[in-house]
Amino acid sequence: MKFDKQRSFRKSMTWVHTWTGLPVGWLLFAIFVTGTLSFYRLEITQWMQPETQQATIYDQGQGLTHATALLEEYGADAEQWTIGFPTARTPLYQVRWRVPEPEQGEAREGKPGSHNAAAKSEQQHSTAAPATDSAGKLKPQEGYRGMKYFMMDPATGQVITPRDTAGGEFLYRFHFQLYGMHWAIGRTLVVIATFFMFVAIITGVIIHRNIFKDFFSFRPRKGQRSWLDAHAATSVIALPFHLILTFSGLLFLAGQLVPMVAGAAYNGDPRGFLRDYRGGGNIEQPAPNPNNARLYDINAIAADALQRAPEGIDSINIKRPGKADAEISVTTLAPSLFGGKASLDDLRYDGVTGKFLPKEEPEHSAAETIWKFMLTTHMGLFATPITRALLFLSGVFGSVMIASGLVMWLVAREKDRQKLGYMPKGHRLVERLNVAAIAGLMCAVAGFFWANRLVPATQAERGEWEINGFFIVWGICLLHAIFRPHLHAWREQLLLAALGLMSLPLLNGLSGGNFIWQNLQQGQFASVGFDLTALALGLGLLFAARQVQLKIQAAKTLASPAEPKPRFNKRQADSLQEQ
Amino acid sequence: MSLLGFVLAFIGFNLLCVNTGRNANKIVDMTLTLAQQRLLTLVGWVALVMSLWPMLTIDSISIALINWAMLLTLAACTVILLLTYRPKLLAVLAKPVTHWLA
Repeated sequence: MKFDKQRSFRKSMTWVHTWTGLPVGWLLFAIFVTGTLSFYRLEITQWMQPETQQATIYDQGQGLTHATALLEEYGADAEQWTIGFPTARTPLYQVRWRVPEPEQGEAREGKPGSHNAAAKSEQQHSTAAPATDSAGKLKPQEGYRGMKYFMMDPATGQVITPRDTAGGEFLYRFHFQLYGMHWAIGRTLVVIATFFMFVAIITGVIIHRNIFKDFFSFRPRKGQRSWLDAHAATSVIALPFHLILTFSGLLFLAGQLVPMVAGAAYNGDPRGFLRDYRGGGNIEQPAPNPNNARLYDINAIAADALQRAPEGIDSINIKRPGKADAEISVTTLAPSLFGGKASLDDLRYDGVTGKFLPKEEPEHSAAETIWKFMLTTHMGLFATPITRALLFLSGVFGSVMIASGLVMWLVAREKDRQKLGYMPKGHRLVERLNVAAIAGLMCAVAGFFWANRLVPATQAERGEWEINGFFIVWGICLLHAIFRPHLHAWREQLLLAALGLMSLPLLNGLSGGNFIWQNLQQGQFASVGFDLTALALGLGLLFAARQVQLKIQAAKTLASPAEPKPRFNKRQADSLQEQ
Repeated sequence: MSLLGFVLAFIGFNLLCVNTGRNANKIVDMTLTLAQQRLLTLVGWVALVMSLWPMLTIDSISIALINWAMLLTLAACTVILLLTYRPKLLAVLAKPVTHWLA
């Protein structure tokens, strides 16, 4: 790149776009893919616990009674009960309780006792527990911070003990703090990449002045032109998504990059901002009432809540059950921007008299509203199934956008290479990293799900082995990409990823779960969705592999036997240079 | 999500894409006057903005905005796919407009 030449504004922006995109593109692709999958992290975790697919999940109206009975039997001395209701995303009852124990330092994620989607999946990180102990009593599974829980079949009230799994939680955490390093380092890397992404989006918009003109003219099978069109189309179609998600991601992790800013308003106390933001930090908790009192009938509370919120119930949370100051809050499925971390509305009742307690709505500042809006959007919290599917689709577009951008860097320099007559080292490096970061990651994701079913269900540290599976496959793909010719590496890895993903619906039925039609009958729609999505993604990758195959064949027919193969020569020159 | 919103957004994108030179002839088989082009663009933009309205009647504004963004994505995606691989379908949809323009 020459800097001494005069160039137009748009040309300069193109330069910025290229060189902010390339260095972090591979990392961004991984963040986008794992983040996109995180829209369905509860469903993924559920798929990875095939025991849950054995439930007959249609609630006959007895589920809540069974759940309450479990809590009374096992959680009599608990300070808090939570009954997670089966929803479209989690088909089983989750019966949780917390036994008081000294608070530990590692309470960064969420406030204790938050009954929301994040907390739900957190607990699935627990260690596998044997189903019963010697006395014939069920042994609960253990979650974070003294939380114990059962998963329960809504129809029969039977407790189901699923296998330990890294689950969707691994993909979710990877997308903002990576893995195998301190979380602060991981988050800093992610926020730097996000920053570059934001710059790339803005410069990208500037470059495409006639945004609709380019947008409506996708021309397939035209070489570089098509790559550019695909890159522009996937960018512009989901532009609102890309902008909001990148900007909000930047906001969430801004504390990593500029840690002093929020602290400055709190006299250097970095936690002060979070305390205020999460709310409740300044409210004086009244002293607990030690007197015992009978808990109000939870079934009646649920019935009342259903009348107030016909959308349905997400969970019921009971604070200090059996005490005189017991409090019941019902999280409904009604969306509410300021309603807790899961952005769901909640109804509060007195735990002894069962009286409905109307809540006073505090004033919300504009900053808080925008922050909440960003958070809700980024996490897809309120999302209806269609919106969630479209968020996922937009995430796929984003991934394709990044991948096509990376590939385009090479395609756009094809002429330079022909002029040079050999393959520069940098280009070969980009080629290798492209294959490993794009196709290799897809193989790794497939490997992660395969590891979930291949590692024995009772294996200690199961979750770790699943994660190992993910990184082992990814590592092998990197080696493969280094040693195989470029197009062949693409074809083989795309094919592997396609087969790995497309076989997941079969694998599910063969290794403890159900086949799609069985899940359909049982109403396990989350797993059906997982299987179908895996199939669709696999088909997409298969199509890509086929395109690469065609390209290889075209190159072969072009290079007549008399001439030396150009590709081989380039590689030779390259390897000679390396030596 | 609402069907009305989708239809409005779809019409909006479709009209905009009729006007962006390169593809106009794929959909309406005629040259449009400048005034016609301007009118179609205007109607297209109005339809796009209007597609927010059904969203607002269902949800509060913040959630409606996200649903709207996703709806626009879906509509744009549909238009592009049709335009690239099945332009004849779009031509059928545009037929009433063609009669009126002629």
